[in-house]
Amino acid sequence: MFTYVARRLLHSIPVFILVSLIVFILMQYAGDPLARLRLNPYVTPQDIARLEREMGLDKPVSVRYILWLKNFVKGDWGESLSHHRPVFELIVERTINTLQLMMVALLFTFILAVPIGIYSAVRQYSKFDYVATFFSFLGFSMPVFWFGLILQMVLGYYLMKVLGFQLFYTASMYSVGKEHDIINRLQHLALPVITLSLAYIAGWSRYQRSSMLEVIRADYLRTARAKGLKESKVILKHGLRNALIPIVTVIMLDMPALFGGAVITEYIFAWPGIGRLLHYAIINGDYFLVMGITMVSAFLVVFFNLLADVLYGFLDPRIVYE
Amino acid sequence: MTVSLLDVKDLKTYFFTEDGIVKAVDGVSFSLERGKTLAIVGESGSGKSVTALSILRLVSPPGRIVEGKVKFEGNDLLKLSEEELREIRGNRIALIFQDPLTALNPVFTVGDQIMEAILTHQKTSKEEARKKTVQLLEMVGIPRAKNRINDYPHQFSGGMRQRAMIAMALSCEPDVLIADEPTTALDVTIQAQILELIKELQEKFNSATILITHDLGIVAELADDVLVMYAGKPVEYGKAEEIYYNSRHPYTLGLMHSISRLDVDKKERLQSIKGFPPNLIQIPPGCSFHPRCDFAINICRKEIPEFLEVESGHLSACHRALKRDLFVSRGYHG
Amino acid sequence: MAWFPLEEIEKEELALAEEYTPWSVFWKKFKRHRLALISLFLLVFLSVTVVIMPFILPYQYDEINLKTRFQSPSLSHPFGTDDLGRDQLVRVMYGGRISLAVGFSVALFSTFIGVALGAVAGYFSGWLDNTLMRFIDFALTIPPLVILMVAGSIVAGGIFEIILIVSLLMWMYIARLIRGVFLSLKEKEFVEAARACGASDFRIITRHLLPNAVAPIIVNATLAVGYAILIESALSFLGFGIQPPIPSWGNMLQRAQQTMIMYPWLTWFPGAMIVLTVLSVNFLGDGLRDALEPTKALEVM
Repeated sequence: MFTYVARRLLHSIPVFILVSLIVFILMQYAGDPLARLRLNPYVTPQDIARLEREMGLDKPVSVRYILWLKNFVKGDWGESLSHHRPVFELIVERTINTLQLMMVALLFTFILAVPIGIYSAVRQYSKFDYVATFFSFLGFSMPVFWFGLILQMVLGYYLMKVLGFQLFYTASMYSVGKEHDIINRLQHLALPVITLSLAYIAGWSRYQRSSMLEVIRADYLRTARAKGLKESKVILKHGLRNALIPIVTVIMLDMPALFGGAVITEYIFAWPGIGRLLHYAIINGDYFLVMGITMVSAFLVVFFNLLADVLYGFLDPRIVYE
Repeated sequence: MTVSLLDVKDLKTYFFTEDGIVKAVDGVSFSLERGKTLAIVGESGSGKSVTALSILRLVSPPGRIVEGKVKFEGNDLLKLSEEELREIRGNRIALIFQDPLTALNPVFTVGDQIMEAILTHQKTSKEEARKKTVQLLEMVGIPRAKNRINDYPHQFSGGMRQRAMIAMALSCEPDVLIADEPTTALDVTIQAQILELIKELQEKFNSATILITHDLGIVAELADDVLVMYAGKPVEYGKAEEIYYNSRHPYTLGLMHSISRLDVDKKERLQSIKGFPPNLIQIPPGCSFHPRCDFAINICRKEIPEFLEVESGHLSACHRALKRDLFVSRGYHG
Repeated sequence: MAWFPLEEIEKEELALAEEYTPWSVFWKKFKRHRLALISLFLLVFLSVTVVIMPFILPYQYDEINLKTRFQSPSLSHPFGTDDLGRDQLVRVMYGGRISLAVGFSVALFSTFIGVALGAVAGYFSGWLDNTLMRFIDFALTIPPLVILMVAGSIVAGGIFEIILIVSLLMWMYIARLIRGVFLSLKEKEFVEAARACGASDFRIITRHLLPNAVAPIIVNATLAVGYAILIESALSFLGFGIQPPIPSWGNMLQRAQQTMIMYPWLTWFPGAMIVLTVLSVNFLGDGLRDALEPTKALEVM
């Protein structure tokens, strides 16, 4: 098992290098970190040239890339050109905020999607199944950002008008001075979590439904029934154990997207996470920051792919890794 | 009057599909006594497996039992509550399924799955159940049973899986054992072993067996009674020797011709029945077998033949069943 | 002995075969999916409307009229007007042209690349297949949003370039699927037979294998339209897609966001159009899947 994991990680090194190279080159065309200063009439061309030298922008791309790569491997991820702080420090700080949002969304999604999927499958073609199917199609078809805006409008603004106080907040992580107030945090979390979860609730519940349907038709469930087991035990022990294997894989493979996909949600709800940081970095041509976030995201893809395979082997006794 | 161990009367199981109603089992009756073996014979799609599942009410939607009685020691299983039925499933009546690879749950060990059956029906400790599981596996001929109970189904060979399946079915010493094509998925040498095992265990426990198969060769070795099914309907029913030597249904004759036998002159070619089993949604009018039947006459295309006694205890659903000469001339020994 | 009128049966069977052409079977099954049928009509209606309406309406998408700023929906402006007094109906229609054009083009383009590469990889296997699969694994490691936003900010709003970028992010999924289909199809007897008859690889791929993979290709191409529309609108919303003054549903919503509470209709209409369009595409795809892929066989035995 250990050698398997080690081999997989080693194999991914060239991938990391290639990804970083592509994004690095693209970033040279994407934006100019000094764009705003160039427009400022009080900044002289000499100042610009000095800044370019300081930031290393005067050197050719190849030299800069090698330099970046060397430093990156050593653990120096560079300094953000827009935030004037070390990239690594910034990423860690924002990642914590994103993880908070993501973990709550993950939990929320799992708790809703899996039971919906199972119940839909067990009661296939029931009213519940039709309603769940329709809503999951709606969830697939809903642009995240529009859903977020509608939530802000309806559950944020209109609800406040009706109730007379703010039940759900529509921006940032906490109200001023209430950083450690859990209720306040939850009031801030609710809308972004629902926004972020929507597509995944739709996707996972459909997936859980179809894998459960496959399991329900399986001969071994009939065997379990023929043994005289209670229906609840047939479904929850023999069925669920098998039907959860594929969804665990899907969840793992969705994790990086959930992490990166928070860009839109964080943008709408002004959540100071990694996605909003990325958006800001790209707009401002802050390529050290973009590179750092890219590498973290690429690593997450590789890591969760690997975790999915390892978990699969752990859950399904038929899979053996040499 | 004594009560039969199992008495099935006019059982009807239909599947309500998008394309129409499929009459998978359409009026099947038979009875079974302790120590006896009944073989239900037919091609795939004849309704024999659905009959087996219907006895324990294991048919899943869109299938539904629409009519009939399944009396087990006088109680109609179709009228019991789910809870009462669970007491019977796996305990008094047990099933052996066709394909042991798919019938065993891949994520639990073989031992766990057998123990589960014991623990469901008997008040024993886990330790006792484990011991009994080992004994059962030894009884069905699995070497090193003590170690093998911790194996997963995929670690067993096909024959061993079927043995494990049998061990599971026998774990509560059932009165009726229903074996649905128990050897189809296995190769020939192992087939014989498994059949021998079923026979042996039946004698040991004095249980009754329903053997479901498409292979009349197997039937000859094991069965006391035979029920032949075609397109969901019973077409011939009687003692095994009667069916063998004095069949009164052209379909049964056809099935017998399609057995490969070693003792028959090689020149006698293996014959199979012409054509295909009918689409169960559009069963041919009249006798459902008539498009494939060599004996068919006008009436066969118009009227459904009744299932009538042709000789004592021997029933046949054929308009021409009483023309004994017809069958003898075509028969197996003709 | 068998005097049963065989000719009659044959005639009946021929009549049946004529009645059940593949097309009629498909249509019969497709019609059963009520929502898919409605969606098909809705999509046709939408496509025609967004093409025609900008010609009929008495406004231009970029016609600024500061006297009619922020008007709520009325007879003369059914979808209201925005901060520059522009008619929202004509903008939504014009944006719909762009969204649908991007959606269909991306679906076509990415399906074309995906099918071509997937077919070649699946058919030839070996090193070609290995190389392609490694490349796909690599392509999937690149965080899609990073590439989308970075590339989007480089091309600065060119519609053709946006189609290209979104396609380049979507072909991998189709390629993988088609590769799998081809991998299993090429083992079938009819391929052996074709090969034995001396058919070239190209002929086998295009004449024998491709027709058998039509169902998954059509279904996935349909669903790709929906994805592409969602991606484009999100990209435009974040400011990296279609650039103003050319309206797209995404960038209209970005603008609407600032005045959402005061002038909610600016948010309702473009968003509802996205949902309606993508939902229709997804139901259509679902209906096509049901009708084309006969996995729903009779559940007997």
